[in-house]
Amino acid sequence: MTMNPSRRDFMRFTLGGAGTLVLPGGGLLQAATPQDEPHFFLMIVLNGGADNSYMFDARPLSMTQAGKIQNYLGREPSPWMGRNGVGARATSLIKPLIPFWDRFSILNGVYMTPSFDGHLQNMNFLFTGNAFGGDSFIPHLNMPETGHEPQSLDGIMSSDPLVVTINNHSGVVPLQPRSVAGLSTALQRIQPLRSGDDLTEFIRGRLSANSVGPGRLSAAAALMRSGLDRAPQVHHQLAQLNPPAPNLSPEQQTVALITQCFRLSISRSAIYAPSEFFDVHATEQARTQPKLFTSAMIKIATLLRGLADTPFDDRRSMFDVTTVMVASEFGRTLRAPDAPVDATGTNHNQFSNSILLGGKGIRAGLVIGASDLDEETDEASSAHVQLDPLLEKSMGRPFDFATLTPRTDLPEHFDIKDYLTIGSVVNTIYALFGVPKEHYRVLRRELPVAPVLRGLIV
Amino acid sequence: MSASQAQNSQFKGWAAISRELSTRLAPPGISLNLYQFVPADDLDDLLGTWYRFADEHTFQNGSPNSVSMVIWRVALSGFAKSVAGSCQAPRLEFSQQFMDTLRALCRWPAAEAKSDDVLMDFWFSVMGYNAPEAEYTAWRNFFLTTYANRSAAETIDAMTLAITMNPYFLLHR
Repeated sequence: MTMNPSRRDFMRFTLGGAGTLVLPGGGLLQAATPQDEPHFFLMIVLNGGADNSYMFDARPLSMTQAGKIQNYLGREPSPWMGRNGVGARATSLIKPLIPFWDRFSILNGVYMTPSFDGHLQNMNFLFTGNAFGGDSFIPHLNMPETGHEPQSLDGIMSSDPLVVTINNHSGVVPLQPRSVAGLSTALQRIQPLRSGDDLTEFIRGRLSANSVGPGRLSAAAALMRSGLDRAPQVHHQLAQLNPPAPNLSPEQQTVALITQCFRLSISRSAIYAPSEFFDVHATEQARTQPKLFTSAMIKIATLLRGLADTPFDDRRSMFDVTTVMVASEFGRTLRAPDAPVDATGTNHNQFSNSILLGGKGIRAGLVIGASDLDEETDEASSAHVQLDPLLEKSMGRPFDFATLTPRTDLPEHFDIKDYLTIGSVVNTIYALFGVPKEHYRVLRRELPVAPVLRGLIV
Repeated sequence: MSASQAQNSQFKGWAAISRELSTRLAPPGISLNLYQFVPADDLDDLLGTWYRFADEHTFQNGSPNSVSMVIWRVALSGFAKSVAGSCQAPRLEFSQQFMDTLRALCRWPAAEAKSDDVLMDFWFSVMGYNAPEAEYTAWRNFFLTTYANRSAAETIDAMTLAITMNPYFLLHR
């Protein structure tokens, strides 16, 4: 049976959104110019390396019976057919996301770092395109060169922080719902700094004087100066925040907070990491995956439901004006070496990740890409065997960028140009937001930029 | 150390700033109650902290941004007002040595409050020895001119805020 939302699900979804003019397919989105259009970004991070075989890149039970892959859910996955005719398999754990099937597309077989399988290196790669860290793509979405008026902050992190090495996140501010009440109340009681008053200008002058030249203190003084310049506006904006009701779930509180931050032009983006940690090397940890995913999928669905049900203005829901990405730093191996599939943990797999993209500007309902070793008889390419001789990992299949479909050939040698990479995913988001091309990620240092997935953009 | 921390200095964080001010301004062994100036619970975490469950090995939120600058300014304004309001009776548990320094300055705008000895005593009491002399000179010249005829309360409030918002005071070097 193909897993698609029931008519009741669909009707409930569309009727529920009717009051806020939810229009699947994005006709409304096509009508406006980039300069006019509000556009925000929500990134949901599954921390620790989530096993995509428990979501939208599942394997048949026959593979488990053949000793190829662990499956602690123990249920046959259902086919999931994209509107583009590309299929995948989905487990029952993704059921909470079904009401949003026409709001997002699934990207499977996404290749992460070329050479590293550590958490930090791949989280760095996800955010910056460099395993050792660098400039994150999130602030780029808020650059004036995009044609949008920059928001006061590049982003807010509304959950506990991720461990990641980033140079340019000084404008991505940790702001959790529990802090908002005290912050807004305090800021309502005190006047913002007055630009032009003697003391403010003196403090600004010392920051300017100390931000000249190289060195870490100079760089920080420059950030302080920039922060001080924006402080009156940010003060005014933060003072308007209403604390989310404490009886709401953390995800509902997050939606309430990011909605205000987007509406008040406080922030362009938000990052949220559910508390589940998916790093399951030990057998006992791996056995908890059905529970981990059940919990995380409910949280993601709560966030999406909140976006869909919350009006941005009298025409659009928050979901209509927000591009949403759900990603982990990498996927996981099929099993651990030399362990039976009913008593094994799993290790890191940077060769095949799954990403969900949805919301504003994204052509939804597609399945893009695929991973290999998805049947017990499936043959690995020589390219795969060279990178993973024991075939512990699934790997993205070669990818046709013109049709956004997986290829069926089995390459002799690995060439990153043949594969769907995280670089293409980020460049597609860049294209959506109008980020200048000089920021686009390259496939590798000496190679061209990763292709934008044009067919994924409305 | 992460690359991000290599790129720019980090704020010391509220806990470290509180400890430094207590060491300089309070009697030995006494901690000033400075947490009262943080606008709300948890907001000190946004000024730089080691305190994160399961992540004690990395310093978080130390990179300056507009939100942290708003919070620093609100918190340090509260502290500055307490210092300025302590000329008659101390509002915090200051040491006798600091009260002597402060009371000399409380005679502002009288000439004796504007001597280099008085100003330098106050500067070093609050700033410590973190900043180069040029910072002291700029601070002194600003207050001797712009605040020459203003009241002691307004001047000491502004002097304290100017020192504590200085990058040499707030940042790890």
